[in-house]
Formats: sequence, C-alpha cells, structure tokens
Amino acid sequence: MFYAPLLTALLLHAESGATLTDHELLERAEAEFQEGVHLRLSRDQARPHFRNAAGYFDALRQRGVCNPVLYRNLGNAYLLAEDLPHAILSYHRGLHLAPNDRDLHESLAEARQRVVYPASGGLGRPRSDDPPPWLPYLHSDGLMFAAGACYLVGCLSLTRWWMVRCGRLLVAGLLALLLVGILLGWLIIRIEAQNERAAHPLVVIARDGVLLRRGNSMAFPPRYDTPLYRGVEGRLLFERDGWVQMELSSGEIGWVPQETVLVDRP
Amino acid sequence: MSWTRLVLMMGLLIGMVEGSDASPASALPTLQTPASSEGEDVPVVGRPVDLPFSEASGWFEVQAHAEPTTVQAERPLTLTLTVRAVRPPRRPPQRLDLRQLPDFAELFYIEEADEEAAQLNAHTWKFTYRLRPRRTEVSEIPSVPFVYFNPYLLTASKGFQVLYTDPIPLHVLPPETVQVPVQGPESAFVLTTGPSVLERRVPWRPPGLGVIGVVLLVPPLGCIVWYFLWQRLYPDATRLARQRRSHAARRALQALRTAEQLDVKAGAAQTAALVADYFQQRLDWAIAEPTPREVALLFAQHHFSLALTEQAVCFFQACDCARFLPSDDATRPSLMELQNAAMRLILTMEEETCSTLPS
Repeated sequence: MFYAPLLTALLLHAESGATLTDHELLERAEAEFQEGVHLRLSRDQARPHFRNAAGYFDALRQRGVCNPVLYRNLGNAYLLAEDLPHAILSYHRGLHLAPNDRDLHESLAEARQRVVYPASGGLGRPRSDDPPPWLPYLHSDGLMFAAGACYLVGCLSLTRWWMVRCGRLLVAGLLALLLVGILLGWLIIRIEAQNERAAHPLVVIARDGVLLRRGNSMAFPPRYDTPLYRGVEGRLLFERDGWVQMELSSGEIGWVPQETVLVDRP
Repeated sequence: MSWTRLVLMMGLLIGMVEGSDASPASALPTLQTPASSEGEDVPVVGRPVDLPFSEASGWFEVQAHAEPTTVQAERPLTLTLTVRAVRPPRRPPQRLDLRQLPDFAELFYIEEADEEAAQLNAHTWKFTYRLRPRRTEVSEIPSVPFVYFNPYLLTASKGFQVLYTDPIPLHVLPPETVQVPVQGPESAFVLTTGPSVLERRVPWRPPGLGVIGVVLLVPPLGCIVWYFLWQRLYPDATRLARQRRSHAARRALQALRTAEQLDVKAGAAQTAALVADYFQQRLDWAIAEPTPREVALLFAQHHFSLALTEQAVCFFQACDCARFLPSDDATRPSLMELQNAAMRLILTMEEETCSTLPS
C-alpha cells in the first residue's frame, strides 16, 4: 500500500516517456494537479496526485521544455507533494530564466521557510541575495540592446559635434559613452555570475540528518556536529568517488555523499 | 460446558488421583473446612510460573464481559472481570496485570489501572480494564487465566487452580483517519496553464567575438562615412565649422559684434586691440599694439598669402588713420567700416590657417 503511489508514478513515467506527446503530458500533469487541489483537504489523498503531476512536468523538462512557467508549476507540485529539495531546485531553475518573477521568489521563500535549520548558529541558512524590490531587473538581452543603442547615440553625437561644434552634443555623446561603460560593466558582472553558476552548480540536501564531513569518506569525522536537513542549499565545489564537496550558502565547506544531494545539472 | 466448570472438575479428578496412594477414605477429594479463614498463608510452591497470580485464596468463579464488542481500532473498550467466591474466601483476589499476558499485550494497548477493584458484596469482586485493539485483525478478547489458591482441596500440591474465561468475539473497525489539509501558500495551488508552459526557452548566452567586433566597428565607420558625405554635400557648412573651430577667432568675432558704440578714435583703438589680441592667441605674438610694418613682417614669417598680408596691413593702417587723423578728414574711415574689416580679416585668416597651420 505504501509503495502504490511510487509504483504508479514509475508507471506513469515509463508511459510518458514512450508514447505521449508534449500536449498529452501537459494535460495529464494539469489534470493530476487539479485533482490534488480538489483533494487538498486530505493530505494523504492529495499528495500522490501532486507527485504524479510533478512527474509529468518533470518529463516535459527532460524533453527540453524550459521556461519559468513550467518550473513554477513543477516547483509548486513538488512543494505540495512535500518534496522540498526538488521544489527548491525547480524554483531556482525558474529564477535563472526569469530573475524578476515575483511568484517564483515568493514560492522559494515559502519553501525555504519549511527547511529545518539549526536553532543556534547560521549553519546552512541562506543569505538573502535577492535584489531590492525597487531595483528593476533588465534582461541580458535588454542590457545588450541598451548598450548598443547608447554606443550608437554616442558615436552619432560626437560626430555631429565634430561637424557643428555644439557643446551640448559633446556632453550628450560623452554621457552616452559613459552609460555604455556602465551597461557593459553590468553585463560583464552578470556573465561572470553565469559562468560561476555553471562551474559551481546549485546543490540541495535531499535527506535529513546529513553530516558535513572533512573528507570524501565515512572514515572522516564530521566537520560540524549539527546535521543538515532536506532543503539546505549550497554550491558544488568538487566531486570525487561518489562524494560531493559543497559550500553551504552560509559559507561552510564539507563533503557529503552524492546520493544525499540534488545537483542542478542541465 | 464452561471453562470454569471444566477446570473445577479437572481439579477434583486430580485430587482423586493424588489421594489414591493414601487411605481409601482419602480417595475422594475432601473438602476441608478452613481452620482459620483469615491470614492463612498461600504456599509458594506449586504456583504457575507463566501466569500472574491473583493472590486469591478460596473457591472462586470468574466471568468476563466486554463492552462494546464492535469498536474502531485504537479506540477503547471496557473489559470487566467478575470474580465470585463460591465459598467463604480466605484472601480476596487482587487485580491481574493483563500486560503480563502475551496474548493481550500483542493485541491490545492496555491502559494503566486508575481505579480500584469494586467489591460488589462480600463474595463478588469486579475488575475493569480499558483495552484498545492495536489493529483491525483483532477478532476476539482472549481467555483471561485467573489463578487462585483453593485451600478447600486436601491435595495441597494441586491447590493452585486456573480458571479461564471464555473468549469474547470482537469486531474491530478500521480507525477513523483525521483529515489533514495540504499545507502551502495559496499561490502554490494556482496552476499556470496555456501554451507558454510548453515554450522551449534557451538561457541567455553572451554573443561571440565576431558579433561584438561588428557592433563595435559599425557605428564609428558609419559616422566616418557620414562625416565625409556631409563635407561633400555641405561645403559652406564645412567652412563655417572650420572657422568655428578657432576658439580665439570666435571670441574675437563675438567681441567685435558686441562692442560698445564709442567714438571713432576710441572704437578704432578697441578694434585694433581686439585683432591684436586675436593675433597674440592665434600666432603667439607678443606685441600688444603692432604697426602695419610689424604685421607685414609677422605674416611673412608665417608664410601667409600676399593677399592676406595686404589685407592685414590695410586694416591696421585704417585703424591708425581713424585714430590719428583729424575728425573732419574725409579719408578717415568710420567705426563700422573698421569693425567689418576686422571681421573679414579674422575670417579670411581662419580660412587660410585651417589649411596651413595646425588648428
């Protein structure tokens, strides 16, 4: 009885991967999600439906469907199925595509609130790296376009100033080039962050009671006596012999078995 | 036949067998009259080791009753054990601990006893237990073994008797489940639908070096082309631009335009000073009030054209005339003529210096 939902999910996965089209998968995912919402007053009855919905959404993701809406639905399905690590991972993937998505930010905050952190100390507790809400987010394409436009305006202004020697044109051209420098700097910082993310992908603890160890073996002593619980986030540093060295969001570094974490790989 | 009576008969039969090696009179179980009914010790030898002893001494009957017999799993039911003495008891029964009986411990949660045995009368005791079936597979309340000592039997070694109550059929229903709602923010229950869910968006990647090079080079090249086209299409504008390029000339022209309307002498001196100042800045000339001869010498040193040199000499000669000739002299130029001549001289010089001197 306990394994029935799991078996169902596996069967659904096998079926979805073989024959169903993307639209059919989406329809089934939505139907399972709605059924879960319909049964939301009974957690035991609703959870298998949310888990099935997450399975269908994840099958779409594995087929290459990639957009913030899918990741939000996927994360919500995992969250309501009480699969906290996968929910956090999905929200992060969505935010990578749409960093300004307020729903994704709120859902991630909600999921993080459910993570068990040590009462004392900040082990594993993520730092608030969200930009202030008043700061508008410009997409990288937008930044590129704006920098190009400013560069063009700067060139035209300076050329015209060379022709007619009007001081306002000189000021406008210099300001435009200064803006180009700012935008390019912003873009470079963003590219660096993207490269950093690719080199050190997100890692989420997937089990309760995981200890950070000093080396890649159970023979090494724990670095901290405090265990980590599902949903704690970090960055991958190295992998070796089935072990993962990770740096927690709060800065602590240690090794954990690979099967106890989720790694954000494409 | 109930268990109680069966055990009683077995006890009698054992008593007969035990007495067979004695006198014929003792072949039958002899019912003693207790010599001292109070305080007589119960022997230790012969007690059943695997069953709890009730500490009772006498001759008893026991019955069990359960209420209700249909109950949900893990919900309580009441088991009542009624012990009745059929002869005057020597020691009253004590409450049995059902947790010492494996059958009960396995099938039921047995709550702690919180009430004393109720003695209905001098010969009847009632013990109440609260049991909770552990699972739905429980189908009966097993027999309760009531162990007591019977001093009325002569066979003291078999004086310990065990009475078993009848099993009570029980119907256990599945437990009632408590509905716990799914926890989550309300926004998590909202599913976003539509074709956007199936979009395949590629994460942003920076453009290649080729694209960056094109983006960097195209605007300046376009501007250069634009500049040369503008030069060709608007030559006058080009000349004006060159004239404006000289800051000193611009300042001198501006000063000439806004000069105060003085008398001819003062105006001529001011105009000559403005032009001389322009020469100082433009040609690094140190002479404050040049004569026409010094002007001709200076222009020759800078390889200016003959026409420009003649124009400059004529201007300064005209200034001298305006300053030093009598006012009634008809050849003395007006101030307006001097100012116009100064502007023409500056513009001509700017036009010529753009091609001969560094700006």
